[in-house]
Amino acid sequence: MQEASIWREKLADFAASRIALFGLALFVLIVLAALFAPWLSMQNPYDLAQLDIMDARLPPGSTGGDGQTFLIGSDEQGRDLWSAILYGLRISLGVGVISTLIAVSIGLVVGLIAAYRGGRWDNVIMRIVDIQLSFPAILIALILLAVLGQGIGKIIAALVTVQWAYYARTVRGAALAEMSKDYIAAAKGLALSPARIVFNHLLPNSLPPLIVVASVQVAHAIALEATLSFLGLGLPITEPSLGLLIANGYQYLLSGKYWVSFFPGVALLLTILSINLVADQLRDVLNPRLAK
Amino acid sequence: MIAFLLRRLVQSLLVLLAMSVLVFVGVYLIGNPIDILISSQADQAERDRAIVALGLDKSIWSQYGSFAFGALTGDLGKSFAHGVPALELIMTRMPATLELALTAMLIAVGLGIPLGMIAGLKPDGFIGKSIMAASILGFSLPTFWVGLMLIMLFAVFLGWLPSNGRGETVDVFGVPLSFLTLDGLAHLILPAVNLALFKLSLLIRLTRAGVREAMAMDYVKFARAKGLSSTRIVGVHVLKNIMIPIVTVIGLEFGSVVAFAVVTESVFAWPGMGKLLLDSINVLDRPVIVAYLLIIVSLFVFINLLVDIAYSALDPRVRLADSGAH
Amino acid sequence: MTTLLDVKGLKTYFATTLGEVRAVDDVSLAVAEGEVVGLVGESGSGKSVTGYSLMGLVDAPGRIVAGSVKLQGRELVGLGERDWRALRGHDIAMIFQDPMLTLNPVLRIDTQIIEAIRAHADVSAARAREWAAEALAGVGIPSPADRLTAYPHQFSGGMRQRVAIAIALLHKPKLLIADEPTTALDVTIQGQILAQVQTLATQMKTSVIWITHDLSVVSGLANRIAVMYAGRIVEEGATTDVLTNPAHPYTRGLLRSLPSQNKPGETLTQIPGAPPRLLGERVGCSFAPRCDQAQVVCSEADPDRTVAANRAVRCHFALREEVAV
Repeated sequence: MQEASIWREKLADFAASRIALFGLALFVLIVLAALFAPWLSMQNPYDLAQLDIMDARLPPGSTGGDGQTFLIGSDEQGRDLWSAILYGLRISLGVGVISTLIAVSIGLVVGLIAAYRGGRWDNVIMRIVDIQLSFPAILIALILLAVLGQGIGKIIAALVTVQWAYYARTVRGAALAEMSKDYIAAAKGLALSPARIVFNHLLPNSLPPLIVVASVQVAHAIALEATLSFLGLGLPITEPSLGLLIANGYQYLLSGKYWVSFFPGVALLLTILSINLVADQLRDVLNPRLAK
Repeated sequence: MIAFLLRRLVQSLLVLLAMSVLVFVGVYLIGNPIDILISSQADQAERDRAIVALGLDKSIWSQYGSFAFGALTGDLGKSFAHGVPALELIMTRMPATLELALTAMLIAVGLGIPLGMIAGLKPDGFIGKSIMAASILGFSLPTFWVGLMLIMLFAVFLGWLPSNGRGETVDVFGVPLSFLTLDGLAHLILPAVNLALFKLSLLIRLTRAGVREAMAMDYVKFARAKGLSSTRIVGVHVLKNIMIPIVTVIGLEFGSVVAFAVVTESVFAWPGMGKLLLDSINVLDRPVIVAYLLIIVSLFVFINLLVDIAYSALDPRVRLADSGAH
Repeated sequence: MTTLLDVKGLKTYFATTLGEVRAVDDVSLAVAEGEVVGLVGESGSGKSVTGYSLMGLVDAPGRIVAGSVKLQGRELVGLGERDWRALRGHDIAMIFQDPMLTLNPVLRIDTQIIEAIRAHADVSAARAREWAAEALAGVGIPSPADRLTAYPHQFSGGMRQRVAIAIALLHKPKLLIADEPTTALDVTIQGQILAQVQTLATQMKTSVIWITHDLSVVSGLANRIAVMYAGRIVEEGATTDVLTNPAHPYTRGLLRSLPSQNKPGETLTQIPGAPPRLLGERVGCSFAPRCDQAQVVCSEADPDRTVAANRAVRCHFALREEVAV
């Protein structure tokens, strides 16, 4: 019950920032738009039968051959950009969230092992984490994709690989702080089962920092996926994520057909911005150093 | 201090050794080394000859030995695409990347620290809040998209700046540099700004947080109680304290700027080693990928060493703890 | 004795999201030249904010909303930053609670002393150095010339507080505000620091306001004691008078809760409850909820400051008859 009231208090703290609430509302809106993409878009952008090459690269507000309106223009295959963005959001968000969930799970397990077992386990795990974190995520992802090849499973694997170490380090830090408290030593002395110590004490105390790091990392993962797709190392061209949509518009940019790159970029920006606004406030609310 | 340096040097060499093993394992053992090291256009006879020539029929240890020996003597194989030694290829492209990365870092530091200090000294004022809003926007902007938008605005619509290449370069000790000519500078500015944006946001936040923390410390209150001017307090007492984490981050982030140059270079067709890496990945030019990896690892290890030295020079507590004095 | 510092009706409020916090609320206090005044109170009673107010060091969201602070007749409230700067460290100096935190960890001691010298005196680098070494010697730091180039972490806590004292007294200030400078130190070191400040203050004819939560610290040091509660001075008078004949129930409570006042085996007396939050309108006496002698009037009317026989008290039922004797 006390636990619940703490979380309720944190929730109230979170709601104290109007800008964070705005970010949350924006994020929910974007997620809803992605979920209900089929109902909100005028065509299925992946169904080539619905596309007409005659409608290619129409500026915003144009009317297509079948009389449909391209609200924010069309891309080089005659895809309605609005529809393509909604479907692209599904992929971008999906890849970002799934890879984060997997990476969080791995990081949680590895971090808890490092903290609980200590000694050589801890040394080896943290050495790997340190080495990996000393290299920029984009470099690791680039090389992995160069070795693995392309595909949605491979890009998720790459994103998981670059993320897990952050979570492992965060969880280990939080768990170690908890381990150093007297009652854990007492519990160990009482020969309480390790599972109980881990699940009842270490895990709950690792969650707040984990949530903060995860909220930041989701935004990073989405941005990284978009970057890799833009560089042509991410997702296949048949189901474009936002990054690929932007890349497709690159070649038309120089002739002034800005919208093909511009609008998917705005969608990507708003997605990342909304998550960052939420993450910023989460950090303030859940940071034990700032807590009274 | 010398003992400290020597120890760090040995540590760095160990990291390099470990990384060379990792690269070796990645390239030679996980992937099919024949696919990785021999051009896919080669026929069977060529492949057999290459397998023997590369020593792939030998034991793993002797293979690592010859790989490490090759790496030490600068022989990492020839680029399939360019037909020249991979290492040489990387080295000719490196100055462009370093020039871009250094300029970007200069912009990020030159703007980020003052802006962060302003935001930290007046966190609740309009300017402080605006700076923070801009920095969170900068954090959220995808680098590659900003690059495109910069090109769109300044190259296409306004026509003020060129959109690709290095422009006219001047050789300094045989190294071509862009920033010494007006044309080169015009080419440099957009990609450098693009690459700087993310680090600029990072430095603003870091500096602001540092200033706010330092301003609340008792030593600032005591300094004020001594009757010091606010210029002296901010410029000496606060700055010296926040420089410790900032210098560390600047050093470590420089490596990430070099890595992120891959994106900016490909947007602005900047002929650096990042663009080369991307092209090599696209045509599976593996010796170049391996060479890039080893170069970048060495660069990182070197930067880490520099950061450690700078850190110990700035923080008396670290310096003295290390030499054993109290 | 001539009055050095004259504080009248000082109010320092902090604007917060919950409302105005009245950290210092109508404080009046006079300090004579060469006098040592003990400002005693629990944490949160406003004693530190009073000290900051006298130094012009109250930061937003706090501000002095009313009252006057006069140093040798010169009004300090409303002074510009430039005038304050000339005053701080020269006429009024301050030392703080934790010597680990008051010295900048990344600057050498000489830097921190010399900058304080040069803030108020136009002297050569060589003379400033000499002066710095003399100052260190003055607070009992051995081989001061060598210690100048050390960093703060190379000193012990007590030594660091000595350095801070040396810095504060560089220009022989008229007033030293000591904000619990011994609280963070070991008991033996506390005594040394206390004695050191006393000696130097007497030598330099510097008046001292010694802020503390511990009555026993100032009992042997201060000429007069002012007891603060909830942003106000509830009782003020000569040290012996206040200690032997406390007029305010809160002072009596403080005295009773001192372990030294207790007979062995007896349970320690304590003041029940907690200090009030200093938010919003003041209705009645702030101490009333914790006072064992509170009557109806106490929770309805705010007691005024009354002065009699050299004693200022804020209480409806101050024990005046004993004072009058």
